[in-house]
Amino acid sequence: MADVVRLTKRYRGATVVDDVSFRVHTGTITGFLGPNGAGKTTTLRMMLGLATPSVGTVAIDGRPLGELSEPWRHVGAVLESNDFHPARTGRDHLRVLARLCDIDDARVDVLLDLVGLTAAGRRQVGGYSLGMRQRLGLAAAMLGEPRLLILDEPTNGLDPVGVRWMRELMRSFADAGGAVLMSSHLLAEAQHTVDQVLIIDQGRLIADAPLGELVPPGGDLEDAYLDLVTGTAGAVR
Amino acid sequence: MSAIASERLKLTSTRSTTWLAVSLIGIVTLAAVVHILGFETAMVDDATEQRSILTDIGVSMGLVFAAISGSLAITSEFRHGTIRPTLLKNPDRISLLNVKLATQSLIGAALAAAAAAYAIGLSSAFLGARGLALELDGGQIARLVIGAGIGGAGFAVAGLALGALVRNQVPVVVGLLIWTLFIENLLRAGVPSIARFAPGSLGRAIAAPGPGQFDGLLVAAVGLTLVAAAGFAATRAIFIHRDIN
Repeated sequence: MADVVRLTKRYRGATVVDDVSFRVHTGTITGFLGPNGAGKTTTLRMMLGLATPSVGTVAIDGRPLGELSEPWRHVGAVLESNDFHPARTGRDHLRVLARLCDIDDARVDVLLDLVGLTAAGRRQVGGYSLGMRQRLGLAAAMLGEPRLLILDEPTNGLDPVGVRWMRELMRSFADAGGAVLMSSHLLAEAQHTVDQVLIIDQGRLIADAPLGELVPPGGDLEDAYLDLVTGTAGAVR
Repeated sequence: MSAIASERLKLTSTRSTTWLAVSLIGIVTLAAVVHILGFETAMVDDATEQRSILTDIGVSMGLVFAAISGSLAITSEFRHGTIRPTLLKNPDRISLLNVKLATQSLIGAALAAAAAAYAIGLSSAFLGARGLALELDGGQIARLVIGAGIGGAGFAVAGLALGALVRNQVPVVVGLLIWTLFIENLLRAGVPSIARFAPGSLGRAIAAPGPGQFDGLLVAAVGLTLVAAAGFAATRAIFIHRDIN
């Protein structure tokens, strides 16, 4: 569904993403984990065409994003929880994007209902809570009924009910034949959610394995993560 | 067509453009009060003086606001982060800029032409209140309004180009104001042979040529179009390769 091959990004001589390769599989939720500044968001931005790789390629459904005639049908993404004009209503935000993709307003209303923002849809986004913005961003990502969702810290700002809602939504999306790539630094939450784990540290991918392979039965993703990233899991235990 | 429909909805789903138009009307009104009602009779009673005043208070203000409108079309996308969901839906950055070019040319033309027409109407009323008359003939009035429209389109494109290059809204708007209201005036006073090629002089010359400016509407219009097109082409070449944070 998504193939990342030898992705590298250098800024002024510093390598922030270094030779990263992985695949996001249909029907799975892949957790993209790593410390702050490890290169997670830069990798996601390169996958989405917002940043140009210094080296490497990204293919979505076998083709570079720029070569897809209707990219919104292949991939939807939320990178920031504040990508809205505060004076625009939530519904209008979605309608603006829907126009861009030739999508009917009826789909906008379906999505507002799906993310629980039907009542708030006609209010300006400036008055939304962080959780509501996350939901609106997710609705925007799902506008084109894509097969791949890329979400940067999707549970940030959500209350426990919202976190569970997000988890169930991602699961049902993957179970319906989609794929989700989510970055997170909330390891306990990731352990409840993901099937596949990617761990990036200092720009290099240091783990790419199914959750069950990385974490033994009854084990803890946090320990496995700390073992890999700092080698200090024992000290933390 | 879908990208244009999206751009149109962006403009109508917030009040930014309305506020810009209201601000323009307010400034033109204030300027007309100061110039037409405040100046001595000898300074407002002949066609040459009236044409110069109308170029200052209508055309020039319209051009400035057209440039601001063009710059806001792209800098507000960066300011509020909407550039990201927009490019995620349509990664073709050239198409994004071209659509903004088309819509902002029209808005810039409308803003500047409306400012010129409003300045003429208001000034005529103010002159009437003082027992004076608007001395411009139909051709001069038409050139003020149509010329402002042509100039407004060019200024909107120049504003869009600057906005796409700099991205940060406040420096862009402040820079446009400083350039149009101060630097060009200094150039006109200090080096008029160079100043005649500056965007503001070209824009004013399209509507009503002043001392030291190009006389012909066509020459000035072509000059402004070349300046705006060169700026837009350079910015577009940079914009399509730059990373979006």
